[in-house]
Amino acid sequence: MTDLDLIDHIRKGQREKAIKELYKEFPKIKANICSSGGDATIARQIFHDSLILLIEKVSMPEFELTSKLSTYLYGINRFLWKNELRKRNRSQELEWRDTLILSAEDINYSEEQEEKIKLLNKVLGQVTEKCKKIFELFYFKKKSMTEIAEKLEFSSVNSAKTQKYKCMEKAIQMANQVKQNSTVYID
Amino acid sequence: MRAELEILEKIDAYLGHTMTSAEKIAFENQIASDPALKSLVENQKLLIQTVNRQAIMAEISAVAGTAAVSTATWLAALKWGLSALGIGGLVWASVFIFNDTDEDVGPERSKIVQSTEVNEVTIENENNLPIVEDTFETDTTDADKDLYISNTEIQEPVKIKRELDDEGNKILDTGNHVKIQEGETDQKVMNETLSHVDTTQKKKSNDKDPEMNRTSQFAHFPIGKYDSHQASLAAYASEELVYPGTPMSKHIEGKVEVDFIVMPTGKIAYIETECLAMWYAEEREAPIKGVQALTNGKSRKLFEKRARNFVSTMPIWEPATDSFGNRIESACRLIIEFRLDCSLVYMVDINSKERSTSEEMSRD
Repeated sequence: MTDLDLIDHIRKGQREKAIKELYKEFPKIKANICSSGGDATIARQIFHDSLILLIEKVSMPEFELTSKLSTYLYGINRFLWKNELRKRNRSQELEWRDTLILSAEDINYSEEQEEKIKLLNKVLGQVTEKCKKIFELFYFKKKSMTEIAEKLEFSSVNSAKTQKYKCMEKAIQMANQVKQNSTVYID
Repeated sequence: MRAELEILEKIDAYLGHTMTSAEKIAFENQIASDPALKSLVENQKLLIQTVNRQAIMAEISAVAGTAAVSTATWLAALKWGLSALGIGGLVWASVFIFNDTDEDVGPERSKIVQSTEVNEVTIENENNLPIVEDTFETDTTDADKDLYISNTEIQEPVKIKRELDDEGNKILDTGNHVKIQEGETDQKVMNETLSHVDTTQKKKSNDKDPEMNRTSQFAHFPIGKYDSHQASLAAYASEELVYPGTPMSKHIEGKVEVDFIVMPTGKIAYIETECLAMWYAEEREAPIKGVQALTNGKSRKLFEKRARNFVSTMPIWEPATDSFGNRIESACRLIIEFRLDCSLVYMVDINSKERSTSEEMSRD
């Protein structure tokens, strides 16, 4: 599968094929991470995070391929692993072969944003199944509200829309609440 | 309500890139002049991103799981092919040499051993080469089952019979002495144990752990009828842990680190083993190294294999939970010390000082 095929698959929503292909890079990345103080568990976590960042990046309409996709993936992994090492107060130079040196901006990574997403991840664990379903169908599967209303047996499209609005309001409100609580806790 | 709904739809259109460029510019101007709208857009963007990430992560996990399983079947086929051709011995010899060269490498030894061994594990799981590990073992079916189970589902782990160990010794089927807590029925038990959460532990886990799984409750071996998770685990190990034959006959003891993931369902996945040290039962202070380590590579492999087998057949665990009480995936580490008099199995904090145990090896 060529890089262009991979990108095409990701953009068309056939991520599974692309993920399978990209997963072939995991052993090498794992070896690199393990040889600089990591273990298999953290290597897998970092690799999975890097896949998500890659998929997000590739899905953007303005994404342009400037190197091999696998090289880019290495670059993301190297960045994430360095970041993790810094968190563990063990900054060190990483000499990875065939990789790009990427900055946080390059891969749209911001610590603040990751924190917020982590928070929302928990919040999404708290919202009702129906809300989760609506979110997934609308934002991930890109279904129209008409289809969603039909699938989830809402009486009308409007009531589905209202429900979605309520769900979002609830989720954001919960996130803000948790955020406040956590700041209080740290103080 | 109507107006708010419209704003929401507008934001969706903006973030979903379905606006015309004129609409987009107008909307961007509107955002720039309205801080409330701006924060609304940002919140919504993050929420959408989170929803998408969760869905993608589910896909990734699915791929990661199936990839490993297909490896196992592929591997079994290849293994048969190889032995039929009679290359087994050859592979064994080459691997035996290759395998053990990493065990005798001078002063920085422990570090080097560590990294090369991990590489080895990598090969085993992803590059389909573990055939070599099994060519000199007799219980191949066991190994297959082991691999398979670790990557799919462990429904009733205690039912798995292990009839022969590596030396052909008869091992008794240990049958149904462990009660598995499953599905909804164990909810009650679990809640009970959860309410016993040590608050200091809870706090600790909230303060540190920069990783994904910020747990407010760690995953645990099912407590069963015992007072503590550790006691339950120890009791289980005393019955289920099989001492491999070769090292037993040579009076070799060993220490194996097992990393694995406890899924939200309590099932065990992604098992990785690494033998940290071996020593003779008579001289516990002196780890086996150098030429001796070279000739005892088989024992090391067997320790790792037994450890893997032990972990993969454990009953359903109590999964970790986040601060909301949601069950989440978490990484766990067990240390298994094979000792001739009494083997030890204990959990270690995966976030604590990394590989404190490997220091032991480099001590001398």
